[in-house]
Amino acid sequence: MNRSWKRFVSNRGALIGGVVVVFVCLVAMTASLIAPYPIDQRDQKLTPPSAAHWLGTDTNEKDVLTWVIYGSRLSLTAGSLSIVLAIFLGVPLGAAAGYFPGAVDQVIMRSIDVVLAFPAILIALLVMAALAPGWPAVIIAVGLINIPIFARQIRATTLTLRSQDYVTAAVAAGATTRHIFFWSLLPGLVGPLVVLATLGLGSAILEVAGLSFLGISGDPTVPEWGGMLAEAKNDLSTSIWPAIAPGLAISVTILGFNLLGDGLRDALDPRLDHGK
Amino acid sequence: MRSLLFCLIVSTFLGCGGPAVPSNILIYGRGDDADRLDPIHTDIGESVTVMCNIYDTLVTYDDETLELVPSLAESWSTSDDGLEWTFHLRKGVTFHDGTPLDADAVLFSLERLTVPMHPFVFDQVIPYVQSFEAIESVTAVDPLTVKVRLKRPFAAFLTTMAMFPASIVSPTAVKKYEGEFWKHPVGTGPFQFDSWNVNQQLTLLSFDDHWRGRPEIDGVIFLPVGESAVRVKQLLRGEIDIADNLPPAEIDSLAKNPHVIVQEKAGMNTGYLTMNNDKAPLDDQRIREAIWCAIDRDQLIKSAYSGHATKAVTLVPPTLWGSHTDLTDREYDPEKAKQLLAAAAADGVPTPIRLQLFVMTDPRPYMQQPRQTAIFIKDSLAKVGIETEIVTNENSQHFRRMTRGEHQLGLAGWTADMPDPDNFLYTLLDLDNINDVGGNNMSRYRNQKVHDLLAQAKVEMNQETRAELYRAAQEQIFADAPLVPLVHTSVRNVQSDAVSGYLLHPSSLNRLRLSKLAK
Amino acid sequence: MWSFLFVRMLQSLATVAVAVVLIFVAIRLLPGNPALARFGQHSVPARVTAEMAHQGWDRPILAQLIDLPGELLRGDLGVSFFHGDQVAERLTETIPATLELSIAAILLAVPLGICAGVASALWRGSWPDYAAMTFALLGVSVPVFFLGICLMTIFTSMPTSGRVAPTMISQFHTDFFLCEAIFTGRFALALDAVRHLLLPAVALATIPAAVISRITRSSMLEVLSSDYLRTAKAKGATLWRIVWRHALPNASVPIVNIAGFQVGMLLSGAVLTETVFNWPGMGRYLVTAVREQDYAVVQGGALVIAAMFVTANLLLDIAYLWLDPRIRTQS
Repeated sequence: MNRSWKRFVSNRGALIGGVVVVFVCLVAMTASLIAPYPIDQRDQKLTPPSAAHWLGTDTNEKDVLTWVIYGSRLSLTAGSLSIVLAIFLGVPLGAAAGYFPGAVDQVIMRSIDVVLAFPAILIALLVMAALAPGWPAVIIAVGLINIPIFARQIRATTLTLRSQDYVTAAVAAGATTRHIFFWSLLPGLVGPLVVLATLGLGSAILEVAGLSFLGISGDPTVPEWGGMLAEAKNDLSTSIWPAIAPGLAISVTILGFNLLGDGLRDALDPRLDHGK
Repeated sequence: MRSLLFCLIVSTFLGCGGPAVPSNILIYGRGDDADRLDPIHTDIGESVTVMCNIYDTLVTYDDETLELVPSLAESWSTSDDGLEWTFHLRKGVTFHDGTPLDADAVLFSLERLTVPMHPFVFDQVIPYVQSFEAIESVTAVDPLTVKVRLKRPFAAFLTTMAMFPASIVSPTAVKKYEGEFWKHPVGTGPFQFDSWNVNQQLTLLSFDDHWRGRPEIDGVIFLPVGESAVRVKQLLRGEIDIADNLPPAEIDSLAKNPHVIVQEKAGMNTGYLTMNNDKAPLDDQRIREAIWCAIDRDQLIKSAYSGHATKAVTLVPPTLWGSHTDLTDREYDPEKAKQLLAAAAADGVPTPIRLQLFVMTDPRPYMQQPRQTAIFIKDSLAKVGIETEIVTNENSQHFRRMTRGEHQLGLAGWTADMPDPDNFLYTLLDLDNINDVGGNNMSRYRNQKVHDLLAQAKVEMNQETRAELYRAAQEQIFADAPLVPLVHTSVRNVQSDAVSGYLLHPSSLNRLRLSKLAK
Repeated sequence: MWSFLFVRMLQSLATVAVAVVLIFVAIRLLPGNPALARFGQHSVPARVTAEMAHQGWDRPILAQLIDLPGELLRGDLGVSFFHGDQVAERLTETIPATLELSIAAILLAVPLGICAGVASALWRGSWPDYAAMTFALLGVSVPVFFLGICLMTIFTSMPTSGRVAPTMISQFHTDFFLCEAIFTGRFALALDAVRHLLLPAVALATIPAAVISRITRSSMLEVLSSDYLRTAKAKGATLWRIVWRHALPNASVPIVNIAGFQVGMLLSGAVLTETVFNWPGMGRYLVTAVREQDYAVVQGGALVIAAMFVTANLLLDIAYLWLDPRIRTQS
């Protein structure tokens, strides 16, 4: 652990990523304190940046900076909730597939192939059409899209761990499956899972923004970056700030999570695959 | 080969070698493509825009006003009981395929609309069938005379003959293409169909033998461009000549450009906030009135319509006869709204009031920025103590859920199918129109008095008397406040200064016959 | 090896079949129905019910499903209820659009990604490495729709919508506009098609390019530190030779793996790019169809997309066999 920590802090990219992520989290938590205006305050429509509105105002006559600050809340919550969902469904599936080769593995992996064969957006649309539209439905849709990624990676890691000597030894010693799973496999899965969740959070935020950009979203008075961008693109030739600000916010946040995820991976297991 | 590739790359970036555009073809950019070009099988605006240039109707609107003028019918008369209409057709008119226009063609076209299971109707979805159900029979008296018999007197009958579903189609072409007629449309209009790459472009060419004379331009290309920002850019670069359905703020900034002309006409539409009268607490008139008072519609018009709309007091737009223009509006008054809410609360209406507001995703002419409007309403209601949750649904889903009465509040609106108050009041507020599939009385307003007045006005033939009946109905409706009328929007089209002669029509039909191009 | 391929092919077919059945059932279970969607604001209860019965959609889903294999075997994908045209016909128009876009993106992404990855592995820790990896990180972090909007704003002279200028469409006989223009030697047309293709292809290429460069870098690093390359270096092989003859082929398995996966994603996942650039591709066609609950289009589209994805993966497996002798002998 100590070695990992050292590797982590000596990795400049990881540190930058960590700082960005902590910063975005802080912004989200203190949004109501640091935002210059309340979210429902109206001023003028589509004004350029000024002393009163650092990033100008949007088509709803609202302060862009305020909305970008509040927007971090939904991105982070929706992103993490959907990843939690993906973990809760994806990890057991992946672990089971990896631990029980043969029929179980085949059934799980072939089902995942089927899911992967569709564009993620199609699945999200179907989920949204089946549930009542709203942010909870978006979270569920994004969670479902991410299940295959977790299941596949966890299966691969489980397969590797299973062939490790200490697990084989435990099996030979007659340990129960449950014992082996909780005491031998699970600890080994934690590291990769942390890395995967961090990277996954980045892509989940991206997916929420993407769906929202296509108009698949919940209450529009909840500030959200993808939705802001979609709205701003209509007035692009009049006013560019309402588009640039949320666009940069999404990009920087995801960049932060990616840097942090890469750093964690290098720190926790330098031998792990460095690509994605 | 390598040097060729190099040239290709260099010139790609320099942007030379652009396309050679045939100079006299008008390019019309809009948000979406047409769906099918058979007049009886569609109800979307993008198809109507194309069809009103391919087909003619028996009667039509004047080039600038809503007055009905002769088109394929040179003259017409009606029997004293109002049940029999005789149309005398224009001589020497031919369809684009050479078929002569005669009574049989008119009979054929109208019967496709009115005869159930007509042998040349290959798709049973006929959205406007209800508007023509008063027709009992159509007969060809002689080659140039057609008689239409009605089941009962129907005041708006002549107006329905100007609606696009009553367009006259070439029987030869329908019989030839059968189920695929919609992609090979043949009419008598000023432009004839040339080609159509779905979602890419639709080309019409001028018809040399059009009975009003050949249009000055050589043709029209309709270009579906989903993103409005892209349409703006294309217009500025001269890639398109006319752009419709742009967001209000963009039109305002375009209006400052000397090479761009913005046309504006008061439209025949109403955007309103529907309130589900069946659901508590909206079954209480005071709550509905409070919501009315809580919304500053003047500010809403500035904010979501860039000022290009008029405040609505009743559903019937002021440009239409029969609109009750003397009603004293409930002005924006948050204090009064709070008092009304307090009074209701004192009588046991549970507080705080929480409501769901249903919102559509895509703009409509009467609701150009649904998202912005919804946010505005939510903010306004919050100020008087009503909490709202906005629920966004894709358009078709939105209306479907509201007809089933799943909403409490919802954004809605109506663009006139025909210029008649019946089309607004009966369709949107009569108790006949409450049902789970397609009932447009989404406010679920049930008032026997209003119903009786509207039913009486439907069969009354005297327009003065009808207007009187409609005014009485509107007074009752205003008092009950089953919904909040928000705005009547202006229709605005943006065109480059190369285009002249094209006039925006109050019916929102985009008839391009008179356009000229100077390129 | 043949039996392995045979099994994989059967698996692929099963995947496609299950996918289509799932979609077939799912779209019919959704609330609402297509007749309602089409009548829109002019729905009348009796007509909606009659239309559903007329189309046979009021029957149990299982009964409707039974007809499907027969129709598919006859090559009949059905007619779009909303638009009235043959689904197969529309797919043959939209698939070329998506294919040209995806292939252009791949042609940009693969060489770019591999070069960036190789450069950063060779000069590890110096500026090419940092530059390439920064690019890769940005590539996976900037949303495609934001990048698209930025590109449109920056390159104002480039067309931003459609595949060719509107007045040129009538000059094409197939839907592979660019290919057709090049093969028939009409360079003005080809130029116009390239100009339309460039920005969307760049936007679409960023993610795969970034992912490929990262995987290339790590596999190259692994190979470069191996003993036999040290031997090659010691024998005085040039850098060029070492990279292209020894290191890259050895690092190719994971690269092909990722590249193939990305190709599959591109074929089906260009919806956002198609939306921003108004590209008349399959993704948008399908998304609209889901919103309209247009059964035939959703089924047909799902079938084609699943088939394309599965085929891409199958080709990937064959590429594996070809690249890695170990797998070849193993099976």
